[in-house]
Amino acid sequence: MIRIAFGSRSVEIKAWETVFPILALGFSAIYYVDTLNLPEKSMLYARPVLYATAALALSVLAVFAVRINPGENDRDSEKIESIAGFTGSGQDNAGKSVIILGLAVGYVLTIRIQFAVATLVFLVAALYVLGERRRWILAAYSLGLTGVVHGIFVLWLHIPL
Amino acid sequence: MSVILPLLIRGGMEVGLELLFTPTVLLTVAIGVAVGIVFGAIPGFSATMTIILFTPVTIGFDTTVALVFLVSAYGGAVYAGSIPAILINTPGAPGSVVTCWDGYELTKAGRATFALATSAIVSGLAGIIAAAVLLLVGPVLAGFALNFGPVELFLLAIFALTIIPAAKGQSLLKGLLGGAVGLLLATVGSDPQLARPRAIFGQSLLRSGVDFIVTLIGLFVFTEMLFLAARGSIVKADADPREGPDQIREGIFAVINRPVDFLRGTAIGTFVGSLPGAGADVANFVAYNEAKRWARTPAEFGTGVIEGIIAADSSNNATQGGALIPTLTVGIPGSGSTAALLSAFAIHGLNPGPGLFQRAGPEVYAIIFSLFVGNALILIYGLGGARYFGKMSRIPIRFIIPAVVVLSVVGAFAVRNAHLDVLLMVAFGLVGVILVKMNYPMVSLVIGVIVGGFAERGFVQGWLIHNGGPIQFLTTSKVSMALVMLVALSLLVTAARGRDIGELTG
Repeated sequence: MIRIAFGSRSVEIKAWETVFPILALGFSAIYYVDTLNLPEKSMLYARPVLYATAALALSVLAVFAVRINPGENDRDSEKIESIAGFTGSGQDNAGKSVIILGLAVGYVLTIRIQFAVATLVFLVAALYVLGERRRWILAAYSLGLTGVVHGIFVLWLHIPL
Repeated sequence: MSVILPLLIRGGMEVGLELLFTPTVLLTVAIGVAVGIVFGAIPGFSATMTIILFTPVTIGFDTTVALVFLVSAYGGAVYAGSIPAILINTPGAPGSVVTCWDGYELTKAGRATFALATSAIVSGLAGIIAAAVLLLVGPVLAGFALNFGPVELFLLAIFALTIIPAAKGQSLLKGLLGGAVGLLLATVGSDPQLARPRAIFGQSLLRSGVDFIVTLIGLFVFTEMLFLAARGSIVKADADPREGPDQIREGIFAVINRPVDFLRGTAIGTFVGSLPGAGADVANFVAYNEAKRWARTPAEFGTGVIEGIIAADSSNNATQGGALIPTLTVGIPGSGSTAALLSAFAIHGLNPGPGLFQRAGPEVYAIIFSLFVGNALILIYGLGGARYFGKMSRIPIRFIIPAVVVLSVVGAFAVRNAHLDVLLMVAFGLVGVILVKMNYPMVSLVIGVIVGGFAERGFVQGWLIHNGGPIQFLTTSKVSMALVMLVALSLLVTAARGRDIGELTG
């Protein structure tokens, strides 16, 4: 949360509340530029949807993300919003989520090189990160699942992975 | 009825029954339902994908066997979409999105078997009732469904978006923003009017748009896996320790004690399924919203109440029979899955549409009767498997997360054999994290993408027909006026609940 003070007045911005509306506004802006030269008939429906999206994004920003002169007893203004913290339970472990996300991104980027190898490496790494330490389980699970997935999707259904 | 029954008999109902009750066809139903359940339970492998994947396999089969197999797999897949929805908060198909809301809460409370048993019972029974409706009043419903022209379909899409925040009890403004982003994403690709590439950002794959299955996998599956990794386990520490048989018995009594909830969901599913373009994905939202509206304690919906599952899964499976009504009688698919079935019918030499019952009565009736057998099998497979499926929720997450991530990647890739779809899936997963943490009704975005296609076609056709007159556009018919009123009512009711007003006044 960001608080900006101007003398006795202050503006409070809930940073995480701005993320989705700003993404929506950014997408709308790129969409607008990309479709600027299209004929009206192509944009008959898309243009009103585009404007509605931008207007709604601004409304959400105004209503949820920005607060002018938040009251001292305003519970909302005191609440710490945290995405990275995955708040709510003492067991929560955001670190593992971030590592799994990183592994998944690496996996997605490497399946272009060799699907079966990338899958095997991802499965071993993910299983290890999530707490499995027994080597035979790491090997059996990863090899077995890679074999099943490769067999069904690549060999049988001919999906060109 | 006096008009319809002679038509049915003349069309070959008796021969159709004889065709069905041959060992080969009965075995085909049993295998088809099992295949549908296995594939439908894989997150991202919807009933539509199952039909598409297996249509080439059936090319060498006898026509009746092939179509009975595909229709049975369709039924099994529609039901099975609820299994991962209940167990890991991951809908196997768009029609199971609502099942997550209460189903997963029950799983977290250690009541997965109870939820799965209830889901199997209402799915099987609703499918049987919908098949009976298809058999008896299909032509009548098909006639009414034809009243839904382009404007009505557009308004139906908007109505579906406005009821989501109400159904989830979340902010109307955030729900509408999610829905609008979904509608905008659905416009990416060649425009349906002039086929000019629109907002494809130099990616030729995007000429065919952003696929809703990719969106679905990213927002629901990938997002949930990230949360699951943080949370550590599916089932809470204070979960119900009771074992399977008790929970199955409870599931049976849960349905027996709530006949109105079950019948209302089934009726909504059959009706919405019969509307061209609107399938289980729309039906289960409407049914859930209605169940919540009539409930004594609506605030408890979404916290793990069984009425939520009864509404979602009865309507979901009732769309099978309903969606086949316009598909078979007028040749207009009632959903994405029946669009895939329509092409399979054509491949096997049957052209759905007026006169089909006269041209291929025995085959068509064999297919309709196979729905009865197939849904009875769903009940048997579902109840028999509930306690085993339920135990899956107690599998350590370290074995679930890697497997589901791999299947998500494969599922996203398999949609169009494109790596871009996999990257989009991951991006949607990250967006999903933000949506969940900021309390957006995430499903609004997904529904926006799903209904975006027919919303645009409906809007453009209606707008051009009425020469851009908004009043004529909105008052095209009694149905359109009723839908306008429903949209207005939905917006007013949700706004009046005060969430946004409360936020505005701080």
